[in-house]
Amino acid sequence: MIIYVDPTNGYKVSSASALGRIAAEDAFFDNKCSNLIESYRYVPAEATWTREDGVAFAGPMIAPWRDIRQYDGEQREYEREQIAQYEAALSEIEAALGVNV
Amino acid sequence: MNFKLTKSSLNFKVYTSPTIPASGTENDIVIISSTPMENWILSSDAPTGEPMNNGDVWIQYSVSGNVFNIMNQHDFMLAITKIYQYVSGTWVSVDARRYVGGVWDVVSSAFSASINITYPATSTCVVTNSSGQTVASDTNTGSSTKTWTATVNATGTYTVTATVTDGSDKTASKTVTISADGEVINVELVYELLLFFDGNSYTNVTGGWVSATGAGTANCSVDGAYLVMYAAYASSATGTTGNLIDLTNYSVLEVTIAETGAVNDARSYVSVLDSAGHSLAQKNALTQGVHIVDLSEITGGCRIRFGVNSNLTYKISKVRLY
Repeated sequence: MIIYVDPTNGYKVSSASALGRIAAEDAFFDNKCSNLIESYRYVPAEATWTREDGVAFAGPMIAPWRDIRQYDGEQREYEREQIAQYEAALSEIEAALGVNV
Repeated sequence: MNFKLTKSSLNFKVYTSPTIPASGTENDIVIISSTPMENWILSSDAPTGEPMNNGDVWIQYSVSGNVFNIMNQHDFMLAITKIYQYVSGTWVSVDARRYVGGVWDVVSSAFSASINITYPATSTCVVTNSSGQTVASDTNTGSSTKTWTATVNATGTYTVTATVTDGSDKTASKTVTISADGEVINVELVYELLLFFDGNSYTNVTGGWVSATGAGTANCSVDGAYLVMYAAYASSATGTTGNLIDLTNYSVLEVTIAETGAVNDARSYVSVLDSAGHSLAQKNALTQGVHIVDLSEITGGCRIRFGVNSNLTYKISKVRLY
């Protein structure tokens, strides 16, 4: 999954590109809904993010910057949609191949 | 501009009193303080450099504002903007009043900033200034965390330290900087929770480090002082705490890697998993040294997992939460 990181905003992740954002690819973000993805900060290798209390975290590190549990329901719905899409695609393939299950 | 004036040339007196006096003489300036004063200085600047003695007073003035004539026989109009007293090695702004028309007018207010401290059960908590002097302390005899507000009366750097009173020598401390009057800073202290150290897996907390082989020949094992993650070529394994560990009161996961093969990629990682096994946070490329992961937005029961992939061995000497 390709994500976009804003170094000027605490390395918070966005699912959309924009001027100044750095593209990065990490399987950690695979199969996550956009609100969940955007709840994370992704500190790249060689970079450091300093928390409000002065603790410095070196990259590579992925950690949430806000409560991610608020998106549990949205994530479950996203996963159900993903499965439904896979099943629909599989049905189409099976129909095309004349497979009877 | 700094200068000293003789008392006889002035039309006001300066003195200290623990409480506001019932009355005074016109223009009297009273410093509300229990620390006696010997000398005072009048300056357009805030206190800088050397004081005289403990208790000495620094009156900062401006030539505009609520001015009054400070001289008996000449005109020298000044307004008092702030008054400081040198107490226990620090200049602190103080509550001070000027007697005008039978009323004590406030000309300076005491500096006050707050440190809201949450610290563990059965502990003492001490706040010290940069000179090491204790400026506030509190004791928590309860069985749960306590939140207490320490008031400090000067800008500067303060160290907040909690020490457990059960004799187990646990301590935790943080340093904060107060830079303005009225500032409020929140501090939370927690003692470290060891998950692995010196060969000890702390199974009462962790439930042990459970090895799972993903592919090929690989495992997680305790070998002497280390938790060892090993994977042969095209192999993978994980080592995960058997128990869920409540991370609510911790903000950092710290991992110390004692030895590792050449690695700067995702073949080694540590992750935080929720009870359903979803990864909530992760750090890859566990090179030799100390690695930390931010837990400040993670709450509730979680497992800690190390992973190893494809032709790599690394040794973990310490895992802790704080």
